[in-house]
Amino acid sequence: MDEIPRDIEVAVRAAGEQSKGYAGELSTVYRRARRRRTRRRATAVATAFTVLAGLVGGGLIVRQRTDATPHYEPASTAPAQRLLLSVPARTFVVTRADSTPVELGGDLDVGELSVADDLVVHPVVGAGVYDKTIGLPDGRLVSVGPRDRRPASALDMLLTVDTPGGRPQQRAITREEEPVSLVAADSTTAFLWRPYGLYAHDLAGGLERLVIASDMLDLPNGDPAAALDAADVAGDRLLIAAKSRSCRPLLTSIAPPQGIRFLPLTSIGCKRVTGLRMSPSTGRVAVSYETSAGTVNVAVLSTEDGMLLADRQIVRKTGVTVDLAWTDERTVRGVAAPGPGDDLYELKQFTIPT
Amino acid sequence: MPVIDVYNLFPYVWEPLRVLPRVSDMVVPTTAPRSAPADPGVDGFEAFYRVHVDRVYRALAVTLRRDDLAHEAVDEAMARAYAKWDVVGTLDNPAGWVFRVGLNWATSWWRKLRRESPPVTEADHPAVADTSPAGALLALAALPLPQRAVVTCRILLDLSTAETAEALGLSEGTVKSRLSRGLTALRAQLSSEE
Repeated sequence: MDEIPRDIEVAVRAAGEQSKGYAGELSTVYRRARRRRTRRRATAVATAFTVLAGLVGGGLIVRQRTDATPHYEPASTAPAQRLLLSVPARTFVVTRADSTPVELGGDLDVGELSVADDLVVHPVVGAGVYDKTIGLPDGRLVSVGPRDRRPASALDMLLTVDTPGGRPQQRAITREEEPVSLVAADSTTAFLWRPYGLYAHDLAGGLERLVIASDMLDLPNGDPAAALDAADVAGDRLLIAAKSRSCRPLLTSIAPPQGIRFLPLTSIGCKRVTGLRMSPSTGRVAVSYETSAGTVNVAVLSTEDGMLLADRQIVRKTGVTVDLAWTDERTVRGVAAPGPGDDLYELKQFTIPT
Repeated sequence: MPVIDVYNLFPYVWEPLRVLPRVSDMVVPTTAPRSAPADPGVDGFEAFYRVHVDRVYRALAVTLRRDDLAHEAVDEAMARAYAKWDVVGTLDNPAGWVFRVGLNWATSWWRKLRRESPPVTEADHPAVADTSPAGALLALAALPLPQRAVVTCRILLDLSTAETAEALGLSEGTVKSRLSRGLTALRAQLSSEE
């Protein structure tokens, strides 16, 4: 059969017209082609460099074995990422360096733990509550939370950019009472989950663009964040741990959507992932997870091949949130956050070098 | 006062509403007008993009049954076509090439994500039991992806059997058999809905 009955042709054409139509732009295609070309060139250069380094390195190993080990010095400047604390409302915390209890959480101050174990507090702007706060290396804090403490305002969410020594900027980000939550932020952009997908919100002007649709990640369109155990965005990469396959976080490029890689944790006893944080270059990821043995561990994996680089037990009970931040490209630090029942909690920072 | 023929403005929307003759036995060759002529003022790829992008997108949206995935797929395929335009532009049927690249990209993405083919039932295109566009979408959705790809290539992209075979990397015999099975299934589905 090589000819098509007219009624079926009409029906199929009508089905084609049902689609809302292509809404893209030619500039997007050009940009995509440029990124693709850049990526391919970078891969080619990296491959050539690796081969060359292998040849040269091989020669050096033969000549002088001691020089073959790469020398690495940890960064002595400010940490690459800041460690903000996820603390339940009105919890007293204390650090080993400072014995004075500080009340944090909810509409009170946001806590930050320095590399030297000092607790730094940041006041919450206005009468609202910060659901999530991310500290930028330049000192700014990006937070998202309801406008005030009344339960009815839970759908009226504000994005706050708090600049040290400057006036905080607040912007209403709720659209038609849809859920919205903060995933990550960098110097120019906050990444938000909205029902339709992940959006890049320009911190300066508030313009938003869709980065990747929920559908593309097999997440529900109603509230994708609710279907996730953890997520992080760094550079042009998105990492998500969906509840349906929590121990197999999915890594993908988002500029544009390209390539999917899973980073399985099942072989190390993972029961549920509770937190993800990629290193600044996105070469590694620190994962906090609950084990089937009833502990909370932190593992460090290479994002290139999923290789396990470190795995450490942090707490001997589950239901504990672990906050993570990379000091530099190879060192991650973290702290187990207090649970709802902890009235006075001692923060014990840990560091995992890899 | 000029008379506007609404049937010509919206032929596919209005077509089912006309009083149709008995057409179940009537067949037409797929010789619908291909596309508007390219604007000579723009370069080859841009002209191709402007003429074909929406049609390829709709064909992918029907085939994949996910509008967002179809959008990304057509963007990716168009970007690849642009990167290789010196080659793609010389093909007999660049739109078929874009469709195939987009389909392969989307299928690969979905398989990696779900480790399975796209599901049969989707909320994107709700079911309505009639021969309306939504009913046709439901009937198309019931087809296996390979049959659906052939049907959309033949009808929505107006490709001949040979062109479809070339675009999808299949033999003409395979295209004919998939089209035959697809049309039979569509006929059964649409008849049962009527």
